[in-house]
Amino acid sequence: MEQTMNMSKTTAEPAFDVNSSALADRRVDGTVGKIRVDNPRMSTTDVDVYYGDKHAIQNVSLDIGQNEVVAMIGPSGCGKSTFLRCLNRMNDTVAGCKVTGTLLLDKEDIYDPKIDVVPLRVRVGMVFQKPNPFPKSIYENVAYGPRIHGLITSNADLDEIVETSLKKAGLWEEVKDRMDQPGTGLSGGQQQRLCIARTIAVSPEVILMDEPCSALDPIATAKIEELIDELREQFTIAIVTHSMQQAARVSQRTAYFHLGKLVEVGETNQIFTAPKHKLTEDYITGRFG
Amino acid sequence: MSNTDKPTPRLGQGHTVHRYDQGIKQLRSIILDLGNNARKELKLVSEALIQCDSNKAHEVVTQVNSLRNLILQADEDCMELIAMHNPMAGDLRLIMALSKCICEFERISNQANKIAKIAVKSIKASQPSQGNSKALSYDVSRISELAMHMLDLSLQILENESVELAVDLVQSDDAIDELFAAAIRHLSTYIMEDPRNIGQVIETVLVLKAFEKIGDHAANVGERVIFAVTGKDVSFLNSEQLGQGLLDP
Repeated sequence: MEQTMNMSKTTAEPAFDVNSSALADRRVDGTVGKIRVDNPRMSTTDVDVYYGDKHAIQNVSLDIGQNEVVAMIGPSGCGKSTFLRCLNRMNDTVAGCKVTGTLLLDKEDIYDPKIDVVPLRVRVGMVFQKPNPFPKSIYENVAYGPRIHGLITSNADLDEIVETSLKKAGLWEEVKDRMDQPGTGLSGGQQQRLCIARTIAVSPEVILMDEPCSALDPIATAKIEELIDELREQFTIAIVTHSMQQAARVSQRTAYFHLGKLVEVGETNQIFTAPKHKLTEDYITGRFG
Repeated sequence: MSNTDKPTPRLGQGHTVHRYDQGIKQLRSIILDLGNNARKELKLVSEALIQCDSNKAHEVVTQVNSLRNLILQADEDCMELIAMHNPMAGDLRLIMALSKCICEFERISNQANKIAKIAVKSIKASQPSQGNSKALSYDVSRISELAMHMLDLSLQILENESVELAVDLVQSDDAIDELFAAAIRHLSTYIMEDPRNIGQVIETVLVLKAFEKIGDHAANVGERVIFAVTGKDVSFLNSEQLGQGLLDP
């Protein structure tokens, strides 16, 4: 697919200078790399996000392909989490936030006024930075979603969904004998996997993860990363992470954000070995950020 | 935000963690020492051959393993930098390139030692006044000069990361190959003229081949630097493709 030029709608001035090196992509005020994929599950075009007067996301276009993990990296405040939260309209809950542009899920505009955000968030689930299990039993944490969304017809169905979800989240063996105990009593890593089980219990199409391992120890992090790799076979995943190594390990494509702009997107292997944009190179090699 | 206000830092500089920059500086310095030591050996052995001075050749032979400590230190530094700093992109490419340069200079030193051993034996056995010896040394002189020039260039490139010079160096590998092929043609006439020359010619061929290999290793340093700076692996490009490959986005 052709590399897409992404020109600013509002100004002819370049928003940031590109590398003067002869080897750098010379596009100005656009995204370096392939923003489109052949089989997009979600497709965004010219997305702008404002928090009041602050222009938090500027003219971002990016596809998230089926069964791929897209990692979003960038320094704090670059807009990666803001962009992620646009993908299931979590920003709707933020006062003064305005989102423009086109965001499609399976070619359907998720910002269409007719769209109900509740079923949208079933289709596009989210896992947050800090594990946030409900103050209920392990079983109820996973059963809550399918039950409230009417996805089951019997208790046997529900039992099966709970077991399957916990197995997919790699937690079943650790909790199968204590399903009635509070989810908040689990370790941090187990709680995060419980939250992932809760997310996948409603059979989403896309899972958004906002720094899902930042509060976890290395072993728990490794388990989540292994899980992300397994979940990719069934789900589409977009993950925001501050860990470059994690982005390199879990994702197939990586998007680098800087000051609200999508600077570069590409195959993860290429981004971490030979990025085309100097800003990407400087960030991932620790020159700034 | 502008990136053009400040000059682009050389690879391995300007890291937020100063210890990383110091580590790269130290590694580069050790590898340059390694290269300079290999250069000294090459210079000595070239002089030994041209001047028929077996003492100089003997000096190189006795220096065998002199680079061992530098090689071990450089390898250790590479591993430490990777383990401690998890380098990415240009940093990763630079460390990989420097790591491979260690091997290239080690092999240059090995080839110099190989030439020195042949020289010690052949200088003692030969009569310098013989016409044949002088004629044979002409080919050796030309190829050793080119090998020395390529090694000098490789050290310069390693220090200043000049892609343009690196391209020149890689392309000059063709010249040393041609020189070697021409020398072989030349030497074959000596065998045809007098089969008794065969022993001396075989030794000369081995020497010429070792110089040609030194040129290869020096050119490899150029390829490693091109890879570190541009991210493009040019190992398997021919001379014509080389310039073109680097211009592609």
